[in-house]
Amino acid sequence: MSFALAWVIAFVSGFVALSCEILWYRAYSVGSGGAPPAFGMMLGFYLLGIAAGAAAARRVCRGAATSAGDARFLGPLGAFVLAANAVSFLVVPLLARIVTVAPWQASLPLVALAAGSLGAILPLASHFGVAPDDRAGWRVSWIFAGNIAGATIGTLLTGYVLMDLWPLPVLALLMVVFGCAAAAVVFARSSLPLPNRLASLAACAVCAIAAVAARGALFDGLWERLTFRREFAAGKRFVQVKENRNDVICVAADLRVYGGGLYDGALNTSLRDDVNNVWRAYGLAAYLKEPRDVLVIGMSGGAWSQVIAHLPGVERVTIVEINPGYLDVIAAHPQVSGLLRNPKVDIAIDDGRRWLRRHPDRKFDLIVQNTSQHWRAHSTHLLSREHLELAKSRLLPGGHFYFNTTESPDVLMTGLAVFPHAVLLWNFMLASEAPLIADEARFRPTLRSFEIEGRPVWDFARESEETAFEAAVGKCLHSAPRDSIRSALRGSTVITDDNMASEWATRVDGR
Amino acid sequence: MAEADATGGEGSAGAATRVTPWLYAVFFVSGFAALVYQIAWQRALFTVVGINVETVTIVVSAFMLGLGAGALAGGALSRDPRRPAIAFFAAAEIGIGLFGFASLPLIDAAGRACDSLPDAASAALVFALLLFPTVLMGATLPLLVAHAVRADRNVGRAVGALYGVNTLGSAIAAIAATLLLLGELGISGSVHLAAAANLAVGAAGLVLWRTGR
Repeated sequence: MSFALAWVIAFVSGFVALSCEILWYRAYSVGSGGAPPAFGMMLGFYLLGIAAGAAAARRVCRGAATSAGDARFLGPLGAFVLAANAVSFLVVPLLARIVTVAPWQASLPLVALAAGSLGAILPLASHFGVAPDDRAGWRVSWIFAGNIAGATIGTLLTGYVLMDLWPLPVLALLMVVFGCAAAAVVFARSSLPLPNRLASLAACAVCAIAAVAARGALFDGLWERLTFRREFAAGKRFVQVKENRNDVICVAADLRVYGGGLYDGALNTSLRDDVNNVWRAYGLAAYLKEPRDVLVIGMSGGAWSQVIAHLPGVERVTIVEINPGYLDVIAAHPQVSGLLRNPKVDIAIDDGRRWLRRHPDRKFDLIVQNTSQHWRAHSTHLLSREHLELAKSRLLPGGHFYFNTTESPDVLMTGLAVFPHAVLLWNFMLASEAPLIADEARFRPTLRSFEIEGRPVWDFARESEETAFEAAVGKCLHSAPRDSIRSALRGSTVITDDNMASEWATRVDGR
Repeated sequence: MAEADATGGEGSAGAATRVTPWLYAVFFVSGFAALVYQIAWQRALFTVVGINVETVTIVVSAFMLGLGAGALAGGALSRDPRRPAIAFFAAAEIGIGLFGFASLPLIDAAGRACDSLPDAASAALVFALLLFPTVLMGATLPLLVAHAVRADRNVGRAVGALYGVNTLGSAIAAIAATLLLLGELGISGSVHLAAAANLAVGAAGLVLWRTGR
């Protein structure tokens, strides 16, 4: 094998390996429900596979000390390339089926198996393309650099460009066809006997055609299986799926929204059929008289922002959302789509914490942060003491910070460590440097006459509407004060950027 | 066994001999430390410059490009058989370890600088920050391959074994970081552990060089 061919093989294997890793991580991220260990565990098994593949390559090379440039060895190399691609293609569909009956970790050996075949390619290409002389290190460095160049381009092209263009099943298919073509090139250049070479080329073609033909069945219900896992049922189908390079957003028939495999609110602003406990947004009116300038970190399906934009006295709402895909979700649903046309609302696509750091001049009467579960990967980015201090520094005098603790004692402890005054509305902490007092006399008429886009929230002509109203008032006014919160937090930890406490102290399956 | 010559270089001629198992042991630890850094530094960088997909892409690409450039640099260093590849390897590990100890304050300072910089300048700063350690990391494989090939004259065996043990170390690190290190030691403790491992590997490399193994 020539050095140039060895370099090309190393480049292609790097490209495919990293592209597959990105696709697998997307699937694992959803299939694990955003569990923090998903990336590390998947990467660990991926690397275990690579190491095993390298060990296998070492055995193949045993006794073949002078075979640089020898085309005979392209046969086994082609077989490794083909096997790597076939197994790699099956990882996501098999994971999607495994998580419906077993924990996501049960599928990790598949990752090792697929990566193992990929891991053998670099040493084999080095062995058969580099002479064992004093310049071996120099030549191997070029092979290694070619592999890394392929991996880098895989990261950029697949992770940044292609994932914004096509859904995961299409990209998986693209990779397997590309890999089969690469294997075919290796077989074609080998010195296998002609019948064997033709049979090898036919195997590549069959592998690619089979993948194309089976794609519908293999990827059927992919996101439903990965999201619902053991609660998956055959008839369960999302009504909207938005995939982009940031994440996967799915909307169920009951208008619940799932971001990255985890419940992320619902497209509902109704207090009567309050499936998403949106009363916690309305409840702000009991404690805040007129929050004029409001920041919302994390928009999701927009229901909360829609309510907040209609709170009495609100003049300006700045929303920072990291995933632009939610704009498409909101635009498709009339319950919340008015948010996008509201002149009071500005939406920035950015990381919430980064946005705060980059806008030190902006101060707010109210900052609302409805983040996902406290144990989700990267959740402490927005729940750490450092972030809460940053948010506090962006509040106007007497301003309020209202955030979802998702019932984590560590998050509650952190909130109390940063703010001197706090109350708890179920799992949301309202915190401030000023005392917090609910004003029932003001709140009742406010909630009774609440309107969204000119439409009243309540229809008191309906039966039992009054009962629903009283229930909502009761929940909003029934807040737990600071002292009672603190008494339940013995043994909890203040979350910092360094300890990431709520992410790593929870169960490995993240549920 | 590769003999250290009178100038401290490595012999280039002679029959194939066995590579000391210690070489694999130190490269295993080196791979372990590298992956701990990758996970911990990525996390620390995301905290200070954001976890949007653009930042993630920049950080991952910076890692990759640094490793690639380092591979070429290590390869270039290994071309001359009179140069002691194992000593350069040891120096690279010590360099990574020293950077490791200083890395988190540097990342924090870079994050503060990024707050007032345009996106392109922020990306360049992250690239620059990661370039030094990742180039050193990338250089280690070709250096050790050169050292091993001079000993046993088989490229596939050398790359397979060294790449294999280094990757195995990284695999164990990825799992250990997930199940133990980040939860028990936090980011700073994990990074300090990796830095100490690098210094130990560097010291072991120097011993292997001085003893001609």
